[in-house]
Amino acid sequence: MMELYRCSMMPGMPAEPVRDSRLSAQNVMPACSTCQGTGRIITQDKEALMRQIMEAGFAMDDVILFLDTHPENQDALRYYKAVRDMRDQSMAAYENQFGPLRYTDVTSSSWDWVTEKWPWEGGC
Amino acid sequence: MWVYEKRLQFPVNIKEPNAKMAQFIMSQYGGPDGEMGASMRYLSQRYSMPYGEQKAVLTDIGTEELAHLEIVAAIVHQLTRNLTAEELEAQGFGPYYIDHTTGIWPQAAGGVPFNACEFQSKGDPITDLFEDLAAEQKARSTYDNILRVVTDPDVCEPIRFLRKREIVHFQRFGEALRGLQDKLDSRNFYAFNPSFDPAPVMARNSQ
Repeated sequence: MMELYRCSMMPGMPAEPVRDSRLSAQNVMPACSTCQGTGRIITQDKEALMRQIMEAGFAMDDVILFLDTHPENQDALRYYKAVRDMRDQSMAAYENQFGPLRYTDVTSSSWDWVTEKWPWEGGC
Repeated sequence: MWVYEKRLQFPVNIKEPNAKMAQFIMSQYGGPDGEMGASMRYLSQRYSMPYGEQKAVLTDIGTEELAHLEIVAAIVHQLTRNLTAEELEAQGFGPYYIDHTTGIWPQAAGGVPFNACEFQSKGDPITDLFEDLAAEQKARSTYDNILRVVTDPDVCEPIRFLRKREIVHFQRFGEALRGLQDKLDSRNFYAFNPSFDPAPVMARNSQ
């Protein structure tokens, strides 16, 4: 029996960790260190926002694989929605201050897609 | 980081299978001037580009080429659907069928498997951008060759779309190269690697 959900304070998350006997240790989801149990974005700091995007983004990358092979699992679907919302909110907060992460999200009056740092340069 | 969209960039709805055409068109999946080599080339070359415009155009075209790879795969898949082994063999698809049934696998029309030597990443932005311009033209020529032998409009339409994108990409790479050269010493574009050789050497050499 492995613990699937660690960040039980995220919006829409079950209060207690969900256990699923079909899961292996590889399915343990990461705890969200940045929401600090509030389930809300609590920072405007660039590095902290990116860490939140990466944590929520990876949680989503991982749970969608689980859902691909367990499409009827309602707990995983709730978790997906929670981490997706967290990811969307933190990406919007990041992009609002620090420039686009996706070429669909440019809002500036100039094409800042080409001017912001690139990820392999230690940007985002 | 990449995200997949569950749609084709251009629709593919082929009603009549034709394994012979599939054999030809699969060259643009894994052949010498195919979309796989294109995407890997551009996404690999990004890291030695000195300016944002070149990094952006390689990132974005390299990404679009993945969507083209999917279009070519969809064409080959639909052209080989619902055919018996006898029909596949009669349409010249026998050798491929033996190794891959009707699965999608990267090879040239002549059966040569995909190889990273189809493209270069030289670590020199001018060298690489010239290669990219040539690659777009070679892919366009291949699509021209395909269009000369394909008659089914269901197949022609997506191939024409892909051909047009080669032309747009050629234009953008030309602009990327010109933009890069605008920032270099016009007396000495080609005598050094602007991403590797230190700038003071460049200035001395150009005098």
